[in-house]
Amino acid sequence: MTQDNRDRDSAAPSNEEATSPGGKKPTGLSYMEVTALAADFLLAVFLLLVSAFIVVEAYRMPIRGPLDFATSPGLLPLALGFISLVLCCLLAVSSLRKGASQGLRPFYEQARHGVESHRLLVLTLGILVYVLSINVLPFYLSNFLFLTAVFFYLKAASWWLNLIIAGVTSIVVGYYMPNLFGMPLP
Amino acid sequence: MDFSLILEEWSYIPDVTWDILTNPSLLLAVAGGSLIGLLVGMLPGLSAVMSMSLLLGFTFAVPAEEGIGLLIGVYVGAISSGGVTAILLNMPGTPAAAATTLDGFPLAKAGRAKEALAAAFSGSFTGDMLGQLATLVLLPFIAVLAMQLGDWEFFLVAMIGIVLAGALAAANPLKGWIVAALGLVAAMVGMEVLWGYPRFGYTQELRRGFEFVPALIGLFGISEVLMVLRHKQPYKMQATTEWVGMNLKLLKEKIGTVLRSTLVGVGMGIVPGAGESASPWIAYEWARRRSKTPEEFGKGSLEGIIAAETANNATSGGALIPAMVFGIPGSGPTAIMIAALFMHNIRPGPMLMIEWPGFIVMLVILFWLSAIFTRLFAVLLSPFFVKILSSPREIILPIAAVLGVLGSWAAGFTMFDVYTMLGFGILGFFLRARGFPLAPMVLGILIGGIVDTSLRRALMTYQGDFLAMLTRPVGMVLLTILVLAVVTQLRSYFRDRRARNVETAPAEE
Repeated sequence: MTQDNRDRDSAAPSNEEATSPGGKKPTGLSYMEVTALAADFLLAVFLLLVSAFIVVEAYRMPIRGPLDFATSPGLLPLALGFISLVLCCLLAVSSLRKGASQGLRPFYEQARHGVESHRLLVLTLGILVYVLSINVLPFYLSNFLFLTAVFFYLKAASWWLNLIIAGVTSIVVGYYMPNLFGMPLP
Repeated sequence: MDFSLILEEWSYIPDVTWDILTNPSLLLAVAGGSLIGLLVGMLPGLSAVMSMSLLLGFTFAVPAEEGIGLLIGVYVGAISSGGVTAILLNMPGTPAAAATTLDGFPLAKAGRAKEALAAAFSGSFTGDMLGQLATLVLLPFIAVLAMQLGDWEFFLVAMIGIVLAGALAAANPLKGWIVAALGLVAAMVGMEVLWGYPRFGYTQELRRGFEFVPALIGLFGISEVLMVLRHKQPYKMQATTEWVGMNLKLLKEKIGTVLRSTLVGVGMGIVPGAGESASPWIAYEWARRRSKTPEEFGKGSLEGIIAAETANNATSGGALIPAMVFGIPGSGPTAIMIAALFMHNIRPGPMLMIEWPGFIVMLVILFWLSAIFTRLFAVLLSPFFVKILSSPREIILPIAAVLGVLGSWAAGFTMFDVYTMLGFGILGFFLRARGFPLAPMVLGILIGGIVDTSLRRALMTYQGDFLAMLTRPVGMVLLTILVLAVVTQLRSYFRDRRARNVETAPAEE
């Protein structure tokens, strides 16, 4: 699988054995494995909270129809939220049992100092700022600024080529394409 | 059951073929799609489903046939060309081509890249043609049978699809089922149709609900951009600058492997969630067992390449069957195709053959045409493969993000759709990074509405008489399948839980 390589964060040596939060006792799992378990655990907890929210909100939906709750709008959201809640619990408990708690600190360190985490954060924020800027700037200008910034950050090409590609793309995507498809600009 | 509908559907073959071949804009759309697919399929990180999702928003602006033709072209092109990257870079261009690396790269290293590419082209072309032929034969039969299903049975079929997709698309079925459930709930945000109640309608936009086009662009497009650009990945290329054609002699010699792999591809395509990623491995293993030279497998077997490539292309045919008959996509790309059909008010389902006669035939012919265009472009572009593979993704992917924003905007011309895309994109990234498959979530988003209304309408029809519902013969069979699917998947999960390795790598979509 290609993504084996993708997940390897330069901040973390993959073959070293992880230590417990106290720092001394080896866990038997590699650094990669405990951080993966910690990530699983944290995501499971987040999804568990989302599921709990769904259950509460679905329960509060009004009763409608001849069969009370069975025909009400909240029936399936409640059932699905509950199923998801149970599955998230199972996933969280399973990752904890395998040693997720020992991976929380390495995971935090990896997220804080890893090169990939930084790139991810910058790219996500870049896209977020770009999307928000569409509300205040002309669309082609938002495109140009976003593309230029990202190309320079990723060192995509030489500076003049970055500017040319960003400029041409902004005009094509921000002006010609919407016109071609007859759509209003954002 | 009205089996005359099947003959009627097949009777459209000559007319539809003529209409397609005499429609220049449709031919241009299919050819353009095939070329785009061929290029994106070759570049690691750019997948069929990502490029299809980015183009989805733009199909609004063109007639349905051209829009569908473009997407089919991309689908066929990308799945077919993923093998090029697998052979030259030892890195599958698309997840479907992962099994091709086993024999493709050793052959390329041994200076036999041309032979490996010819075998891959031959296998994928045959897989496309035979897979779609099987679909043309099977799909109308299944559609006629499906016309007998009521709301209750439809609900059960949809649930079977969700359960199988959740279980088969991920190494851990829990992860697949969690995202499937959340996808179903996401589809239920907004005004529900039976009582007009706005579920989770905290704002005016949420009362309208999430449009599935921005959600799909976010899940498949933006998450992929983040997934690929967060790291630098150097290539080590086994170069070829020669013309590469088809190897018909090899196909003739390995006809048994071709037919078996087609069977595997079509069969796996029908099962939601199994998709193109799983079928090549099964076909490859079957071919190895039946081969006269099994020792060559994994070291540079042309038969291995043919098996993998035939199966992954034939899967697209099988995946069309549940997609068109029940509206349940068998894979990510078919989910995008269903979304495109919805956008043009074409509702996949058992009534498709009655409401849109000749449509299934048109789809199959468009697939065949795409396969021909793809092979033509592949031959023409083969001397430039090395240059294409050297294209910097640091330039292509940010542009893809901009196209994603424009495509989402085109779904409803509101910024809420763009925010929806961004939200689903970030969520999709974190889910993918931890091995949660996205296909079940997309399936949930697409069929959530059907599941919800079918169940509650069935309950109202039977006025709460569960015994009458449960004792309907077809329903009973479907319910048994559903229960068996859940029980067997749960049993195997709990049995393997201790033995399973920790999932350090995310699952491929």
